[in-house]
Amino acid sequence: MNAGVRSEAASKKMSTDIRFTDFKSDKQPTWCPGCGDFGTMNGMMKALANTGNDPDNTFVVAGIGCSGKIGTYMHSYALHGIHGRALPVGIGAKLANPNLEVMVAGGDGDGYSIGAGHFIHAVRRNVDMTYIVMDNRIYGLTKGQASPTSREDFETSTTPEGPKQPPVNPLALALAAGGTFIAQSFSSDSQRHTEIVQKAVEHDGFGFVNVYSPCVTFNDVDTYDYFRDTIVDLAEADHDPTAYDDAADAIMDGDKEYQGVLYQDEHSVAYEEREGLSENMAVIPDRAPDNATDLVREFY
Amino acid sequence: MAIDPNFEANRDVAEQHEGHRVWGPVDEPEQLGIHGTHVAVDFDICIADGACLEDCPVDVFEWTDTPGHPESDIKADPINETQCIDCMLCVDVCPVDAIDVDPGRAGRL
Ligand SMILES: Cc1ncc(C[n+]2csc(CCOP(=O)(O)OP(=O)(O)O)c2C)c(N)n1
Ligand code: SF4
Ligand code: SF4
Ligand SMILES: [Mg+2]
Repeated sequence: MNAGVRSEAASKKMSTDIRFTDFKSDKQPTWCPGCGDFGTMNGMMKALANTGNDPDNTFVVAGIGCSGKIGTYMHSYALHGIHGRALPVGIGAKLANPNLEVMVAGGDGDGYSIGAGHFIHAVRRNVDMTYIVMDNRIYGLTKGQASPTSREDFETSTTPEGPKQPPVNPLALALAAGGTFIAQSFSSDSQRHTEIVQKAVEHDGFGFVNVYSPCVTFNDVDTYDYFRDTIVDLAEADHDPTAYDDAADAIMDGDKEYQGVLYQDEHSVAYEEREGLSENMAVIPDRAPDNATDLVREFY
Repeated sequence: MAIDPNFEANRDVAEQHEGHRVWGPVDEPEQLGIHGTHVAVDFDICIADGACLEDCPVDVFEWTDTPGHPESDIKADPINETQCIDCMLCVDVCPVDAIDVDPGRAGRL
């Protein structure tokens, strides 16, 4: 691969002709061949490029999990956070520098079990950023334990008879927490997935997209074929995402796997706008401070 | 024999087919060359197993007729190579190593 050369060429370009491939890093993903995360990331990069962003103004914060590796594979500013705690880092960065395009990404375990608290509070704060959950209904990185979105009867190493409790409905959690943009997509439907993420990026507030991203190694029930067969695309279902009651009906309908924007509050005003936080508080010096080495040493 | 990952250096573009390049030499019907650039399929190795067609999450491949070729009379043609998300599944499942995918070659149609 030739990514070094490519990114040099990219930096010479005007931000207007940024291509999605400019968001690819020179690291070869270690995801299993066929992992849904490839498609999820691909659509994220396309959505960023389509909305006029470039790697220089983009900050990707990743959780822990197979999904969490995404910050390494994308070419942008990035931080690989601690498990379940990517969202507060993203919020902090956005409030410090509102000019940044902030995208937080992580898994279903990361976001809905250990990070569930951060999730609902990030939703209700409504900072202008995008949150992508790469939902494979399993803990992939730790080799196949049930996650909060696993089916009730899904047998795994930690749940030999299934979790015996209903899966969480992340869309409903977001709605209940006062979410202003709630969507779902499927990593293998590149075009729709890109469109949906793009709408989340464009949304004035917290754009949340739960992305079905099949784990081809540890989940043999929530497969590409399963989603292909069952997905109901709201674009073909005459659904008005701005009508709250219709959105709530669709979101609470636990039997259907929807793809599309389920709910969008057209009048959403982002937290930082409401609070008049438009200034860049992050003063980035031209050179490192003289005592930088000592400061870093403090952490070792 | 597996596909030559350095085909760009070692071969020349012989023709265009369905929007992608064909890297020669081509001498139909016995010799068909490599189809595609980002997603490259060596038609002279492809045995029409079909795993890539079946498994590619974004449907990059379609069958194309190649009557009279010694290995098989249909081939997996990467006609939607611009859709490729670089998941490497086809490379992994191809039983004869006829496919090479390199995102570094993306955009060179
Ligand atoms: C504080 C903490 N607890 C537990 C772990 C172990 N751990 C690593 S990844 C993970 C879950 C991963 O599942 P998910 O978020 O769905 O990501 P996936 O790998 O499926 O993409 C767990 C429990 C950890 N790294 N840190
Ligand atoms: S274990 Fe599952 S989630 Fe992790 S890289 Fe492999 S396919 Fe993807
Ligand atoms: S790498 Fe993945 S997306 Fe690309 S052609 Fe192969 S199977 Fe399809
Ligand atoms: Mg997971």
